Amino acid sequence: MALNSYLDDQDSAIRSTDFDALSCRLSTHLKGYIFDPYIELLIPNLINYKTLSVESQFKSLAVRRNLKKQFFGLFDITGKLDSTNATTAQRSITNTYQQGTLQRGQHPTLSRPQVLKSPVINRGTWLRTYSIDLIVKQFIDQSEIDEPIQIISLGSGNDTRAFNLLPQYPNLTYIELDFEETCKIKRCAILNPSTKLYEPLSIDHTSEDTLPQNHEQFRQIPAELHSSRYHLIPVDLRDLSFKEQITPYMDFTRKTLVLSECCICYLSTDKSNELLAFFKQILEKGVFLIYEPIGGSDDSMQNESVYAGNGNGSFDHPGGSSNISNQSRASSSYGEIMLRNLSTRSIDMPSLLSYGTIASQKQRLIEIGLDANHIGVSDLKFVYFNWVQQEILEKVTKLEFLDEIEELNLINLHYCLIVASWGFKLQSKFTPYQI
Amino acid sequence: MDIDTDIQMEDAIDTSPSTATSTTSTKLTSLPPTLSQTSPTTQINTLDGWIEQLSQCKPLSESSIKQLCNMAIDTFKDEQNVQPVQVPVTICGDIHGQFHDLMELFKIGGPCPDTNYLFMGDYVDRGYYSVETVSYLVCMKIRYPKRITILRGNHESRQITQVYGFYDECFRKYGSANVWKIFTDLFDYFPITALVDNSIFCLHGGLSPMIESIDQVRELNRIQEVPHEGPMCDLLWSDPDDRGGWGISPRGAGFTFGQDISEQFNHTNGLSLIARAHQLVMEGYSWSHQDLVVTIFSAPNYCYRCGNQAAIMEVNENHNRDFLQYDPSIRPGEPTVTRKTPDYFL
Repeated sequence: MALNSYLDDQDSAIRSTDFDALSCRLSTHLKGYIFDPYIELLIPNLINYKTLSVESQFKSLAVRRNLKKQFFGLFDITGKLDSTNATTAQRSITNTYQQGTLQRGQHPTLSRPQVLKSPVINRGTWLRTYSIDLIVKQFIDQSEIDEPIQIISLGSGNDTRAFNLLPQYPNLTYIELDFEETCKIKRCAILNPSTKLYEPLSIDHTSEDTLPQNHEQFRQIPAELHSSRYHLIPVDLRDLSFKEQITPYMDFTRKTLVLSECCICYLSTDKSNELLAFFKQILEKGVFLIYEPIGGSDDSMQNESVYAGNGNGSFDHPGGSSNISNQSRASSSYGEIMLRNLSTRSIDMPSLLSYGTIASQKQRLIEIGLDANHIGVSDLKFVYFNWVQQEILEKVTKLEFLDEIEELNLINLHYCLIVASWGFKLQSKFTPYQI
Repeated sequence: MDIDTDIQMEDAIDTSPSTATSTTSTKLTSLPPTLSQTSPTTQINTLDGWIEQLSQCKPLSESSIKQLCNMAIDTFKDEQNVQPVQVPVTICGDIHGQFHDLMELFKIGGPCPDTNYLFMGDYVDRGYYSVETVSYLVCMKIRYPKRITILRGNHESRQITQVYGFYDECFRKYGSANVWKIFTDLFDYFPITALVDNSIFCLHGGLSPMIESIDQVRELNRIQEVPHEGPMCDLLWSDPDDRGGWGISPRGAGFTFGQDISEQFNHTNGLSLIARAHQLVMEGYSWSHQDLVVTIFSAPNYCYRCGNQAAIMEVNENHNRDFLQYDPSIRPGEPTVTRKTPDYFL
């Protein structure tokens, strides 16, 4: 019992990181780094249904208050968008994937930028979204127009990619796997007739889908949601018997992108490796797209200072790393401090030091059976200086003033992006990798 | 102010804020008798009381801040754009509201006024205790004006503090922006550079393509908000770079300057070294341009996240330099229990 409640707390701590990510994305959206209209529709629903998911009324008030705060107080007490932001919410939802992510300027209703996340976090969040989207787009573009493909998102949480991608790519099926509670909340958010998030997912909305009004009703609603091309499935990723749950909705012979955006880093290293090996085994043609923190190690990053601008001769970025003379101390202490900081929120991140370098991340995939030639790994600092087109970088740097160049580089150095394919090779001529 | 450096508090200006306006009382001797209701001893006691309170990391009242900053304006406005400083002195870089680490700094470097200090800016923003940090340093400055030198960093500005935390902290701790306004008005008076024994040029950022000689710095009108461009902006924003010449700064303000620029500047001005802060360096200090430029950063584990060491540079009577490195002060429960965990991409 004690162990169970401890484990529940751990799971709940991990689920809480989903809201961290979402509040970062809201901030970058409002700042104009990304344009994601679904995010503004999703958040009030999440606040509302997350509150219902809490049993104690006292606790649910605290949850609501904390969520409001986490989303910068921009949503009123009923969970609806504050009226000052109504214009943004009512803007017609257009598919923005093709338009690129930088169509908007400053958010018109926010005169005080400091209420949002700090510029370092905004820039890093944008880079995360940008680089993952880039690989996802490469994956999709590489398929024939009538070739059915799948994306399976591990611990997808409140991600909005499905809303953006499905209307645009009719050959795509999108499968989201997460904790039961997270799925329930997202299901409610999708089915809410006032925000119509079911439309981009091609879900036939019927009035029979009653939405919960209180915690008791919330407990009884299903967590699964299916349309012809969208599947939301509650699973425990630590228990591979979930294969039975996903089998009816997946075709293991199709080309499949398995996305882990800060997901498997919360599993024990054994469990995460088992999970990767499992997908490698059941999918004929697959690609892992993994974004996660790397805590570094004492002997791994001695040469980091040389690559700002390499790999693509057109970039010449001053102020990159020349002044950070010795990265070795930072590499290990950054990860240790991150673990310590996360532990105050009861979050453990087993892979942070076990797979603390891009080299060890690559090695783990080789050991799972992937071909080393089909594995590309880069830290996000490399991605920042080598993947982003100059004109996009220029647009981004104009969005807000970023004084903390060294800190951004340091943080980016401690995140990695992994692209590893089997059964086919993902073409990546525009995206060089470090290793 | 013309004050004997070793007589510590006679030089505190007698400006009872209820009766004096800072503009009328530039020197102790020129004060009208009616303004001297508060004796220097009382002033010392007041300041010592504030310092004592602040050293417990307890912020001063708004009225005390007002009083303090009025006194401080009197002190700073008589300082020069290139404030002369004598050896021995201990030179420090960014603090950024990490109050407990500032206390650690004084432990490592020795207490003020026994040790002379030169701080190169960025007292506020990012850390949780900008108010206490800048209040403490300004108190020390007024209390021991010849023992401590305080320069302006690029974060001592109205615009930057609204983005990076000082504004919000003031609002949170005082319920209004008044204290932020009082401090940012004071920041305009901070000197922008210092010259240690005509040999070490100290400033927050770096060089400017519009400044060839130190005399040109002396000609600037510094008492204003940090401009978006121009020489004063550059001095607070620029960075040394591995590439030669002048470069565009990725920060969007100031420039990058190469070793050739540093060589020329040091030669022209007869300098042995440029000491500057402004950039996070993992060991707390970092040499560049073949030891013509040193970066000093004095906020350990910057933003409670970066894992860096901090350092200060002692320069003794013989101009020997010694770096003292230190880690974050051990303070149980801080910041993780009482404060929010730093942001990560999760």
